[in-house]
Amino acid sequence: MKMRRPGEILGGVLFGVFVCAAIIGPWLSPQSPWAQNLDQVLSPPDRHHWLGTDENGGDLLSMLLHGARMALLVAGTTVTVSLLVGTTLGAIAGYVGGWVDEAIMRLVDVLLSFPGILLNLAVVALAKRPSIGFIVFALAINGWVGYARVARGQTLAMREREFVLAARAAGATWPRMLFRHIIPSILGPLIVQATFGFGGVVLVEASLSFLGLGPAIPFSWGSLLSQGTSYLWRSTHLAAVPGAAIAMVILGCNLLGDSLRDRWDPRS
Amino acid sequence: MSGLASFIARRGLGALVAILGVSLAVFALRHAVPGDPVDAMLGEQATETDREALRACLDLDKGIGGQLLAFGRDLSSGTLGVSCRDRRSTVISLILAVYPRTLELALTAVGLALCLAIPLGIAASLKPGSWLDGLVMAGSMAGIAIPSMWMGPLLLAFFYVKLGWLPGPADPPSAVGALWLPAITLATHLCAMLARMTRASLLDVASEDFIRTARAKGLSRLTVLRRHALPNALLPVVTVAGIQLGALLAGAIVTEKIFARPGIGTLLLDSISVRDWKVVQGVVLVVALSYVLVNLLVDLVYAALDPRVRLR
Repeated sequence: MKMRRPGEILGGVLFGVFVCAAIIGPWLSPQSPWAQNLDQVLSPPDRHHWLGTDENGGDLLSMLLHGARMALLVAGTTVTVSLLVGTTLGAIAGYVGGWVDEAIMRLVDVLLSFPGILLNLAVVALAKRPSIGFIVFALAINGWVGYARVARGQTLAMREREFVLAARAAGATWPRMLFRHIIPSILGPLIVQATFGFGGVVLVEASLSFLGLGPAIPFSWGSLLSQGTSYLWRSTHLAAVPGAAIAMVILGCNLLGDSLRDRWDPRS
Repeated sequence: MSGLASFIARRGLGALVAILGVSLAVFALRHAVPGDPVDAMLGEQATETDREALRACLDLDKGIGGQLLAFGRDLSSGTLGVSCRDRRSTVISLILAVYPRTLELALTAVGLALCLAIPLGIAASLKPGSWLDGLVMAGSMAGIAIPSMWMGPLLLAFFYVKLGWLPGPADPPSAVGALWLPAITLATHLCAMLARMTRASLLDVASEDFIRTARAKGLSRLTVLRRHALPNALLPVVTVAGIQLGALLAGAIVTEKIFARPGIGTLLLDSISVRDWKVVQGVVLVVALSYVLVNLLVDLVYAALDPRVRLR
């Protein structure tokens, strides 16, 4: 077991804090995120409001904690859906080959040939106020592509390994081959990809909310940040705090992804 | 030369198919989503004549075949249709009016990122593991994680609200120095990425035989870096910067909103908010096309600079 680098620990801590905040945070929140107190608007962080208050005197920390749960829900679901779809399609493309491979990879090329955020935006804009499900759909449309590429590459490398040949010689059908033998053995690189992907989805969802096109959920970090930006000339913390939260999650995912890759990817 | 021509033709055709596919997908999704865009644009109390006129403008009075036909006509005429807000300006004229603003922003951001990232990457690669290297690597890790929607407000709060050094959203976009804050906002992520790439690429090249040979024949470290290592190491860095230019055109949406700058992103958001679908479709199409063209151009330049690359 090699020594842990500071980046690895920081990544784990940041990501861990986010997940804990998302799961138990709303119960720990000091007050209701809906509560308003017009005597204390836009007050900077102090003893009563650790992260300050918004333009209605609402407690920013409580809002942030409730928003964290939504961020985890959206990003977790999107990454899971993208991972499942991408892995399945990529592994099929790599294992079956031929025209199936050709068709799937052509679709991947098409989706990669223009900026993904533009596609997300165009799809999300179609709904007046997108539900969480619709956002997940919009983000997964091109989200699976990265996983498909990794899964295909790994499957191609696995295809000629002895245990795969043995299983095939023993008469395993191709779905059984894929789901029992190949996919379980290529999970490492896919999880690395998903770790980076999680941060990416948090960013895109926050961007959409920031632009006013986000899901119809209260206290989304992106909309908190957008709201804070409009009070910038009166106080800074209202924009600084949600933005810092978004950046910390992305940083955590990137650091964690780096260290997982170092561990599982023998090439680096 | 015929190889080059066929490469361009094939890539161009592939890109065209991709873009057409996207616009058709957006077109199809538009029909899958419930809700009447006419209500969203005009409000509930609009007169019946207004509604009919708008419906006709959006081609909603036609069947799906007729709509596809009208879509094709808009594309082939090059106007991309007429904006349904004023029903006079063509979509392409609206886009071309603001396109230079976004392009200038994106180009400045790429230039800024390169100017900062290359020296930082070189400095870090000179002594891997040194404190300078650690500083650049940690800084770039942070830079990659900072989203532009946070960077922008922070820069505004400091340089515009607090210090008052640089113009902000309240000033006209033609004000002196108005480009600085938006360009820095957009450049942060790219700069951090490019600095890491420069470092990694230089370290890769440093272990190559030709570098050892150059050193062995008595060239100074500086000469080796300048004449042998940099030209080889920077090629992929500049390529990525080029490819990112296309992505920045789309990424500028958030930045333009923060700084209330006119541009492609502002046009897109405005059009989305009033459901002016033809403009939305037009913007998506034009940005996708720019992205594809930039990528094609980068591939060609790369092939011209690196004799090892064969266009396939």
